[in-house]
Amino acid sequence: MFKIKLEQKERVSKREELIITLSAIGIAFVLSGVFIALNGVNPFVALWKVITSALGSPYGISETLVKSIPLIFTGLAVGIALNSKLWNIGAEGQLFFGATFATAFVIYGPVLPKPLELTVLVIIGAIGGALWAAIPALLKIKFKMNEVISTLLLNYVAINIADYFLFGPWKGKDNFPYTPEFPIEAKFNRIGFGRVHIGLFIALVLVVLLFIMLYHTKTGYKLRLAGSSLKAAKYAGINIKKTMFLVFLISGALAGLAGVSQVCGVEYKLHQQISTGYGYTGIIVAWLARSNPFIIVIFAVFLSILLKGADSLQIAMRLPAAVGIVMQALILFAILGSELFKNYNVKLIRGK
Amino acid sequence: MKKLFWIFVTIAAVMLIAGCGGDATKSEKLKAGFVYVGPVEDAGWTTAHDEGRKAMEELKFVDESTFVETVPEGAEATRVITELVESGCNMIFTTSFGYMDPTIEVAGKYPDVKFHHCSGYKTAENSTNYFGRMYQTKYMAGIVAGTMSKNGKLGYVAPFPIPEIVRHINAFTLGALSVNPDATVMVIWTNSWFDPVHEKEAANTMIAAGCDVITQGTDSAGPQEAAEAAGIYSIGNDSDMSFMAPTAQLTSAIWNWGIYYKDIATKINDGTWVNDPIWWGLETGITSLSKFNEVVPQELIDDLAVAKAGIIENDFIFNGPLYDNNGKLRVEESEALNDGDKLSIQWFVKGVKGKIPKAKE
Repeated sequence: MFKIKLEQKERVSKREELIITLSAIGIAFVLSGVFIALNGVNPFVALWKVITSALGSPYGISETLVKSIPLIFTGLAVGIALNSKLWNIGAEGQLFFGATFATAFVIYGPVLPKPLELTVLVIIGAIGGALWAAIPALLKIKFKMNEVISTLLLNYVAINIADYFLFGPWKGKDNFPYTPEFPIEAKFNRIGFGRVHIGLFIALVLVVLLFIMLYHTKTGYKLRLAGSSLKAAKYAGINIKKTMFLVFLISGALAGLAGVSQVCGVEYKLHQQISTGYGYTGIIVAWLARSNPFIIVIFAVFLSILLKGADSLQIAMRLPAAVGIVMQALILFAILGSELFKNYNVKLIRGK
Repeated sequence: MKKLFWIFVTIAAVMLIAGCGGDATKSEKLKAGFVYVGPVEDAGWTTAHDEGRKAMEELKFVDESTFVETVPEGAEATRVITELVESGCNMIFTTSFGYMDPTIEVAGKYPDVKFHHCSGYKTAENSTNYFGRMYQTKYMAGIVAGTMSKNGKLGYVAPFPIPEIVRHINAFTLGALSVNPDATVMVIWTNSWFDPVHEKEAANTMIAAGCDVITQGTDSAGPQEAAEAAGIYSIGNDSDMSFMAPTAQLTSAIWNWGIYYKDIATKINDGTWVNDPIWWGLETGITSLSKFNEVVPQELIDDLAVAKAGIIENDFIFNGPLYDNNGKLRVEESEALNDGDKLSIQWFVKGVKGKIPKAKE
């Protein structure tokens, strides 16, 4: 008989952490490969197809980038919260709330000159996302309600609020749940590379700003300290509640921006499917990137390649749509599982 | 470490070799690409299109076709359609309303490819739209429901309050009223095309409210399952759903898309393709009732044949007088809804218990 023994590790080096993360992705790929092989397709051919469809042509690269933009925003949203050991599972709802806020301004507000209009939309969308995130923040601070549950469940509420407007007052003239198309003033400019829009620049600027804030300012230090040890943070005189609230606001605002970037940059209208689960995929992005803003960009592109690749696999190999979702799930699963190896030495001992 | 490196090199080499040989060669034949809104095995709408796709593949001049399932309705579809064209498809079929703008957008970039959008209204030089007068079959389904119901309370699980669905609910209700003047049709919206759990719940709610025949405008067989479990009757939608409800399903109002897909492929092959939109009726067989449950009496089946002949001869379903469900006279005695009215209808006929959310005036 064998016994499994876990020994808590003292410290994990960056190098070790990287190896564990990469092996987790590797394991997820091997498992996905088995799944693909069970569907009668050579997994290596499939992988090659995923890579070439995403990166093998200018069109493929541009579409990969388009899909990465909302993932960078939601990745940052989840990541900033994770930095303070807070779980924001509600990026999807905050995305919808941000999009709904921005759309409200397009529908009811005045049409401003384009640069001004876009600035207002970005700010309003961020406020929308932040407001939606403020609810679970307050629930946690005032009533100690677990934020995993409150943020997750509020997703459904936010989506239903958007639905209310889509099926009611904002219904387009087709009587279909779409708002009318946004005026040109409310559309993000394209940067001249396929459908890639200026949302990419906004996202990248935020990546740099967040990195500076997290690692080079006092506020960032507070946020990180609150994440690593509550006791130490309290001892250092940090107002935990205030810090927590701030983190949620920033996180929600970032997710709200993903919503603005979808409605103003890609869809040009609000409808039910502005997000294909970007809020949830953002969790995987943030987790893989260990919340580091720069690495979030890398993994946002990585997941974008996989998501986009799933469509190409359907076209080229007749694999079911579920393959993409299964691959995503396996990666998350492997990453969460790898946490064990990060924090513990796992030993097999021969016993009786 | 060294060993690991060589393993990776080997994997990369295999991928490279395997990948290069993979691409399909271009052929002279027609190759269709389909965009589906639900999973191909939804047992309803998408399954019906996929059967049509397979039927089309049997034509000699049509190559093996390809499809992408569960595609979001919006900008995401633009990419999928583009990829289908780039993979070598020279005729594209997009099978949900929300693909209309993406279809037109991509059509503009590929003038040599023929595009077909189901259930919309926009066309382009190389892009048309197609649909069938399902309301005629829904009327007949209403006759079946109205006849077989004991208490005249019918339940309709409906996806979106769009004209297509409102039209179908109205026709179903008018069919039921034609055999039972006291019949009512309760409507619950699910706000989604495909949501088996939600659809089943909606059906259960209506069963609890006393409905004894359940039908649906949604794509999954969830409501049928609910009816089977409750031991009442049901009428399927889009595809034959009897495998989910062998005793409950009386019949199903189904699409026979193969008829259209074969026709359009033949026209492309002959060079007689035009971008005129089509809205085919019962006479073409594009929609029909599926095989009847053995509990459906022969007398009713005979009556349905008469009704069908009547509809084909003179599409009387939306002839006046028609009152809406607030009692307002909408269509005068001597008048009838024209096709334009039917395609934009946003009110329920008398007998429907349900509401259509109001748009901003």
